[in-house]
Amino acid sequence: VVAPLLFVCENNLYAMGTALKLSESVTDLTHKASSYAITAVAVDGMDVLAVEAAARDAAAAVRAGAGPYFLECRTYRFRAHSMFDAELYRGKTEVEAWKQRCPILLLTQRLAEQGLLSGAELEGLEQQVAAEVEAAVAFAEAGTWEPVEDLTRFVYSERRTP
Amino acid sequence: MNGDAGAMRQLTYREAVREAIREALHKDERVFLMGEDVGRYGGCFAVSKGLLEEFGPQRIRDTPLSESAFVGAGIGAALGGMRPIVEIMTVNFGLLAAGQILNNAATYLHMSGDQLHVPLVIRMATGGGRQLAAQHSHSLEGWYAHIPGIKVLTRRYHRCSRDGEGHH
Repeated sequence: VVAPLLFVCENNLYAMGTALKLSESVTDLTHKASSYAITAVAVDGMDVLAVEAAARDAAAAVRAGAGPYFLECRTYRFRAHSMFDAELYRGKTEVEAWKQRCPILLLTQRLAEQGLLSGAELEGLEQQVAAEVEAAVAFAEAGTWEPVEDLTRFVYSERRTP
Repeated sequence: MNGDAGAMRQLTYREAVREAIREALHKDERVFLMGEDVGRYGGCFAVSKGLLEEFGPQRIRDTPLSESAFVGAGIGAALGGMRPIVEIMTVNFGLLAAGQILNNAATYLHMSGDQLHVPLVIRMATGGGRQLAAQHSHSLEGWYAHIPGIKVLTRRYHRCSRDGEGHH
């Protein structure tokens, strides 16, 4: 019996602040997955269409009963890990170089070249997304703190059924 | 019990635990047992002896020597609707799965605000007296009792440890 299981690894090359190549001898993660005798495939994680195609193949294989499948999307993290991260572990030129391959940038360029997305449509989409994020922030800011009486709720289940 | 009210049976811990596991397996098809050597070997302390023959390899599952991995798999199965019993060979090896037990199993319910229930039983042999040396003989139930979100069940009298194992 093989598990219908798809592992998706978003490899952005760093832990919080340590490069994979600094902490691991084998940096090709598909080699590690292959050691479990499961299908392991890497894809350019900056290419939305390539990821879509690879994910479709992976899902089809798992659904067909091929067993566990490992899909590594090779990508990058543009921003700091958190607001406390001074990014001492990497150079700005490296980050800028990866930004040239931004997945949104690449996809919109491709769509524009093929006449599937106009400048006005792209601008509209970006405004829509910005408004959605602003609304989410406003919703969170308007929220109330959890009442202190609830502090110890759900440490243990309150369900009575077995 | 055979209807004789007041009658008491004498059991070893081993027999009592095996009986409880068998009862759980019979009562609820979501229950399964997994751990190191619980199946073909018959259990490190023979607690699961005969269960593989009775319940089959789908419900009595031998795992690799990776406590973190198979406790994690037990948590996943519990989240997915099963009622796993995960056996860790000795309480000492439980430390290799401490992250799964403390950060995941004990914590999901609280962190998810009642959405993620982890109905998981973890069984560990604990205590000295079996000539198994220092790395197999600790009694760490007190440590586990410090973790909010899990319930610890252990034997009452530690003097009885020569007769069998306690369990969590």
